[in-house]
Amino acid sequence: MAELLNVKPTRMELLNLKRRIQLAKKGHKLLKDKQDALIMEFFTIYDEALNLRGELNRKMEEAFRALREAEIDVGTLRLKEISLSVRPNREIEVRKRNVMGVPVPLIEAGSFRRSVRERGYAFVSSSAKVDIAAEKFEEVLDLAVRLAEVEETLKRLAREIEVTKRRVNALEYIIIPRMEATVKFIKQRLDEMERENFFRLKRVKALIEARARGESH
Amino acid sequence: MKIAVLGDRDTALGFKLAGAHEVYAFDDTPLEMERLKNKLGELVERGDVGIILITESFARKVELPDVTLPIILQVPDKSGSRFGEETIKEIVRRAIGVELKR
Repeated sequence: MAELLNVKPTRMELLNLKRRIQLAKKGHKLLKDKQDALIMEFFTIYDEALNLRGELNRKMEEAFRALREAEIDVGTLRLKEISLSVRPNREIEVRKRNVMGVPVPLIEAGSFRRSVRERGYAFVSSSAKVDIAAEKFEEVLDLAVRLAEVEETLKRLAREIEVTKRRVNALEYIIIPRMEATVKFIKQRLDEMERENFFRLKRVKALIEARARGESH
Repeated sequence: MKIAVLGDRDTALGFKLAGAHEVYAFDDTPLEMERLKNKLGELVERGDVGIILITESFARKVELPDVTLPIILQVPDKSGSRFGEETIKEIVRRAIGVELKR
């Protein structure tokens, strides 16, 4: 049996409790709906995240292969020199978006792919292999930025789902049963008082009648 | 905002070629890990960094701060990915309570 709330068994409390139960049930239903909606959203994003992850892993592998080839072609030191003269790529913009009341990031970024000319290293010192490696890593960067958004969204939704789940369960299994048990307790207590009172009246009536009979004799 | 990369030499070199804004290379020694930790903390504090890419093997060795911005993303290194999908599955397991197989 659920624990009882610490209240006095009065009619006033009974009415109060009944109102609170109704409110709690309404809240419970709302939270449950929210949880369902969150989970649905979660799964759409989950698929996307897994796909992007897989793609990133593949691209990364390709990129490292290209990098190795570039290293072989121009030498480690030269490649390092080249990398130092690469111009920084475009910047990104991180905004916020709302999904079911959960703030999730929204990253705005154009493609990081650019032409050889834009990269800024000298043609003389580099080779086609270097261009390929740079291109591959630019693709990786594109993917990584998209994955960052999706995975972060997934994490935040997961956290929100956890919190909502806890609240729903607390209402369903603890708070509502406890209030219902208390209502039952108060009802029984009031009935008991009612019966006691009724019996007392009967008893008094019997006493009065007995006395009246004694006097008339 | 900027993209920062924390990784081993090769990863750093690659991302440098792609034009990532801030690239830091670390070796796999305790002292370097300490440096990595400090750098990570600094990047998180700074506020003009939007995304931090960190290689999976390094991410295992330092504690990733729980912040909303910048976004910290683990990327595979040259030995391939071992934890990427695991991380996503772990998130699902915690949120839903069951593991999903597809």
